[in-house]
Amino acid sequence: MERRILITVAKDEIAPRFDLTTEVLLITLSATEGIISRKSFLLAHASGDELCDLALSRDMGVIVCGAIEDEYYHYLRWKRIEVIDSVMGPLERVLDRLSTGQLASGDILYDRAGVPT
Amino acid sequence: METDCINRHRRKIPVRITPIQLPSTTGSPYILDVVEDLTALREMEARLSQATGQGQIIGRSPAMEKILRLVPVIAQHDSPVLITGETGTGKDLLAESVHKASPRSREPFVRFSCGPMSAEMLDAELFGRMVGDGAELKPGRFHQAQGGTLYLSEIADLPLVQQAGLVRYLDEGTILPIGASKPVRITTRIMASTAELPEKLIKDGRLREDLFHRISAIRLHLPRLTERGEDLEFLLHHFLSHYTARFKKNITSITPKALRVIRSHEFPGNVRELKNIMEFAVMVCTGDQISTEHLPGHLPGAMEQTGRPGSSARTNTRKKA
Repeated sequence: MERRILITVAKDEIAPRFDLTTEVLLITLSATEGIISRKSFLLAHASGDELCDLALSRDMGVIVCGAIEDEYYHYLRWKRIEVIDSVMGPLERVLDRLSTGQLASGDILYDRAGVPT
Repeated sequence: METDCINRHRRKIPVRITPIQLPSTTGSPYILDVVEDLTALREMEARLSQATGQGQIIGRSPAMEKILRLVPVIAQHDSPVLITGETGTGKDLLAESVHKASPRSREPFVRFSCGPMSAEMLDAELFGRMVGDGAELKPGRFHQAQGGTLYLSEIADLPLVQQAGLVRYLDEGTILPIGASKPVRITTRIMASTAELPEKLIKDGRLREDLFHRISAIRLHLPRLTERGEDLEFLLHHFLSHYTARFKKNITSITPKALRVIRSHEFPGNVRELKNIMEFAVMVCTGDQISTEHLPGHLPGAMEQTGRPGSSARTNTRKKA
């Protein structure tokens, strides 16, 4: 089974705010083969509305982001998109967790002294 | 710096961030960012603003009703708005009302007075400036109003060069900050006002004709107070009850004579002048009725009771006391 996932990105980390994101990564994740496609999108300007439109027009099944407003969260859920929010950390770690099906809302994946991620 | 952030409950909250430098033994100092939640403060401000009647434009006259009926319609569009009207007619309030009724109401409403300023400063204030070898943008008013509304008060005071920048924005939706190599896309609604007739300003060479045609997609004209008929009395009683509550007085009415004095006044300062007159009258009135002696001395017919026209009501009240 394949899942299409949109990840909000700032440099090489998850963007802290959904509505202020100007870069997204679109991936297709296969249950057996891992990440089978990976595309980066740079947006002309930050806009939560346009990001929602992008997710819908690209038929995304999952969105991974940092902080997101209630309004956008419920809209996306209503559109049957799974939202994994309040995620913080380096993009590659997030992708690893996604591949193993271990990413959950609220995950903080930065290194912290004495706390393995 | 005041900004906003989104909390774990997915609610956008206003915050103030204050960086504090801490000494360090290792050489480079530590920076501690103190983040304060300003939600309670903002709610209090909103309540006080409602209580003081700020941000509301009111009127019952047909001229005002026509404008007020248009507000929700205009608010749903992104077209630029030009508001004309004499000083004190409520241009700023009308612009704010349109913003508050619009889908942009959760975004900033930024007011910019196009007063005298050097051209470069104006450019930086409006369009922003690249600092630190062009790596960082110091935001201008356009950026501050991103997603919201930028209201340019007295647009004809803006030099023609900056007016050309506005034309560019209205045409292309982009601005060019000082020192930037590429234009920046902005989604701000523009509203502007002028106390003079735009046609005259164009004739005098103070307003670019191309800017006028772009910015006046929607044009609203606020009438003078003396042209608003029944609004004079309506607003008078509105300000009377407003200031009575604010100054904790027990004033219930205004004498017919004082009313006649107010009615006969020309009101060059329009609603703002009426508001000031009522504020003064309520402030100096110690009884339960406003009479001519409580009106400011510059009104013809004020102070008739004491027979000393020209002396101020304040002096009179002091003498009585």
